[in-house]
Amino acid sequence: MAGNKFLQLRNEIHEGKFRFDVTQDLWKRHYMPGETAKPNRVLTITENGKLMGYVVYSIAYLGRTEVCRILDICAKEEKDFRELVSQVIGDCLKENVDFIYLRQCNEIYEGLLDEMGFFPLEQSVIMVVLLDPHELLLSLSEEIDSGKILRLTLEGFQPITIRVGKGAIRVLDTGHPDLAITTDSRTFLKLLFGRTRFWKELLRRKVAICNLLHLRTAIHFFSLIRVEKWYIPQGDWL
Amino acid sequence: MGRIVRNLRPNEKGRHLRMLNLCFDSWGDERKWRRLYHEKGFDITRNVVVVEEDGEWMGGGTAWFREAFLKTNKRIQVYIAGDGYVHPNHRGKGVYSTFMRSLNGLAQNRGASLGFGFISLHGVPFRALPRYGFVDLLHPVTRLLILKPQNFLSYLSEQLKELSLPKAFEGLKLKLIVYFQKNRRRCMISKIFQIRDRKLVELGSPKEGAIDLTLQASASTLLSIFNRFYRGKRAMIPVVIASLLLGRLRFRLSVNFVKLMLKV
Repeated sequence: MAGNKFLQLRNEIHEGKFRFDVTQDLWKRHYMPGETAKPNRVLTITENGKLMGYVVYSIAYLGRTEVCRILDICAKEEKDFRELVSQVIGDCLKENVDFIYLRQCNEIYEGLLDEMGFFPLEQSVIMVVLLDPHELLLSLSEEIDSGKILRLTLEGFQPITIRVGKGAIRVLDTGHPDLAITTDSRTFLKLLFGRTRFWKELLRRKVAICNLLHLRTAIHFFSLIRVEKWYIPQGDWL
Repeated sequence: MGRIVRNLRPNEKGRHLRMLNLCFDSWGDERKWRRLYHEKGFDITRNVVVVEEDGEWMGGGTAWFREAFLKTNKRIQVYIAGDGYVHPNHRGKGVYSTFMRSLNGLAQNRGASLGFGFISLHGVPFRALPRYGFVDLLHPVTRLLILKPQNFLSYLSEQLKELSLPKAFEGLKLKLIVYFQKNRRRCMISKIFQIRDRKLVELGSPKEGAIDLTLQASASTLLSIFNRFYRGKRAMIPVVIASLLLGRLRFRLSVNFVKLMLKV
């Protein structure tokens, strides 16, 4: 089965979430059975020739313990997700695996893994650094002509002028701002990725706004750019 | 000559692989190298940085580039920082800072808007990366299913052997009782340890009566305490207290142990 079917399903299920664009080459390299000592395994569920779900996992030794790592699992329906996990468990039991682990940014079928005997564990973290806010906001920029003009100043970066419309933003070269927001890159990232609320940071004085009359515009701006959900499966982690 | 940051040279692949295996204990073989370092568009002479001082290879790191989807499928260029290592002889000399700053600069010049680090809560990067602007944004949940409780407990006890315990506890015997879910049924296994030379040593078949401290918990509770332990004693205390209050962690003390605690 060609890699693109997997990628199509993955993009379809996780559309709108923050995720990496996994190319055919990356998919083949990081997910498909390759030239590793113990190649990755792939299980699929199809219905009338259409891919409904897949799981990619690898079994390897961690010290003296044999561990199964689920690199990616995608299923359109809960029953398919359950079936895939059950098949992995079955395979691992045959192979004498000691434990199975799976890392998820946002759980799709909440409670399902608990029901199957998996327990949660906090073990890893995704850390992000802001390198170029102008480029970042430019990627979100759309052709709009009306809206308030905001000047965003992030410590350590050049100020950015942005038009905040009803449903979109536009990065401008120049323009007389109606309001100005000043913050640091850490707070900006937390606001961008929905880890904190604008109000909270304003009260903590992590965000400064020069014209409180335009507070609604500031809140609206962050709601327009906010990324709420993530999808970065373990296989994308390198 | 002083300290310089340069890119990896085409003839240094083997040396870089040896450095990774030396610094990470067992990073991997050539097959893993090829999988990671031969990606389309990846160029070792542009993506891999090496820190050198007076001609001596001190450490380095790698930047992998990706495109990421934002809201409404808009794309941005991002980079993943990885394989950062410092030679054991040069730790504590600011090598990590040198290559992390260099990687961020390199990524910025190549048009990356964001940089990513996928890291363990227990490692050095978790404490070090915030110094280079990295923000702890997401804690993905690891879901664990234990298929062979006995082996899993052995794995845990291997980790526990690394602990260095107070001298006052020398000779104490501890019994650890762990509950697991297996085939939707609760099962229990136990192990007995003794503190010898400040380390936990697993005992084969000791007499029951000699136990000084018995700890009883589910595997998940035990693992969450264990995880916090790596993040420092302060991080562990609230979890221990919460587990005790919620009845997830139970203990039984011997008179001997109580006397010892009062002395300590």
